[in-house]
Amino acid sequence: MTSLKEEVLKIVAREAENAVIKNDEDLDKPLKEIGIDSLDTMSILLKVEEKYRISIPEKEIGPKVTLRMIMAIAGNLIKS
Amino acid sequence: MIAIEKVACYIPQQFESNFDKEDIFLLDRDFIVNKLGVERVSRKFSDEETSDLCLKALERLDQPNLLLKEVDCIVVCTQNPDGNGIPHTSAILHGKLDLPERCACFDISLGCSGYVYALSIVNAFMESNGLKSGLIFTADPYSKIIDPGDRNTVLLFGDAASVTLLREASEHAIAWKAKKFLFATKGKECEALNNRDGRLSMNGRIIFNMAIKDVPIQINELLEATGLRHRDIDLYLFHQGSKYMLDQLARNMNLPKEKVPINLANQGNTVSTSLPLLLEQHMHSPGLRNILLCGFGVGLSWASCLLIRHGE
Repeated sequence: MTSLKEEVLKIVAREAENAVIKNDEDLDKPLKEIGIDSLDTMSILLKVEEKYRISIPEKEIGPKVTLRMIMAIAGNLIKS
Repeated sequence: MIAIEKVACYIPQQFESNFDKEDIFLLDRDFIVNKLGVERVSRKFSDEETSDLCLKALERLDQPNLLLKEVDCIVVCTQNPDGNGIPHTSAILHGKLDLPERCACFDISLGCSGYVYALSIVNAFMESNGLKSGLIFTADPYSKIIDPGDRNTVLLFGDAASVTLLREASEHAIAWKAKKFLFATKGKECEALNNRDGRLSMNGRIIFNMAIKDVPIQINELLEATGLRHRDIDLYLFHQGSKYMLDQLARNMNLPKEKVPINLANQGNTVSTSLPLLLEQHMHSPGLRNILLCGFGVGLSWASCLLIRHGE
């Protein structure tokens, strides 16, 4: 079974064509620093929500959000 | 049978370039051109009121056989009316045009879904009252309420106005008959686009989610209700929210890009005028039989209808 991390990275690859993720450390960088702009972010969040049938609250997504944070938020919502 | 005979639009020839704002908002050219799709936004002149924008759209209608004294109703779709909304802008326009007293006037308060609603309302109003000639105006100059420091809105919204002439269709003239309307509202999320204390504010993610999730459902319902398939639709005229939103919508619905025109670059998202702007551009193209219109935004509200070509 595909892990949440792998699934989010697959979504990122599909939705953000300019994203550059070279290593694990890039998961902790603000999205803009790894080539994901505010519009790509909307698409990524929507696809994660649809994939896991969750709703990621707006207040969780600040300007410095990272992919690891999105994975953690989604993970918590899936568990609950 | 009441049908759309002609559409004309007015875009104020005063612009703010988004390229001039690259440094202020930390933007790059690629984002402006390929994501927002808006290179400049139109701004009304300071001496232009909403009703003046409507008048200028009417000046461009260029319909020699339309006698204003014969117009039975005028309707203005706006959420940024003249003054503070009393009197209604359609009445102000009525006065400026010196129309006869028997001409009905009212405003419709809706944003990006407003044009589709207005087509339905005015069609029904004219048919039920035996009216022969009506004008729908759209004019929602967001520059009245835009916050120049808000990158979510100032780069996106432009000012424009339109007029649509609805008349009893003659046998031979080309006209577009609206058939089957669908409407939807998600009032619990209405704050996503609001004017609080005179300043526009938008939660782009909520609007984006509506466009990508809810709009396709309504369009498929519309096709089912009319017995048509996607291949029967010659053009999908979607509200021009942003290029990215339209690209994603087309991609998620597997629509060919050539059937989903985008015309944001030179004036921006003009709210309820974005659909008539597209319609003016495309309604006279040869070979078109079925056009689907869909407006979505403030409310959250979304509405769709099918236009069928009449006459040759």
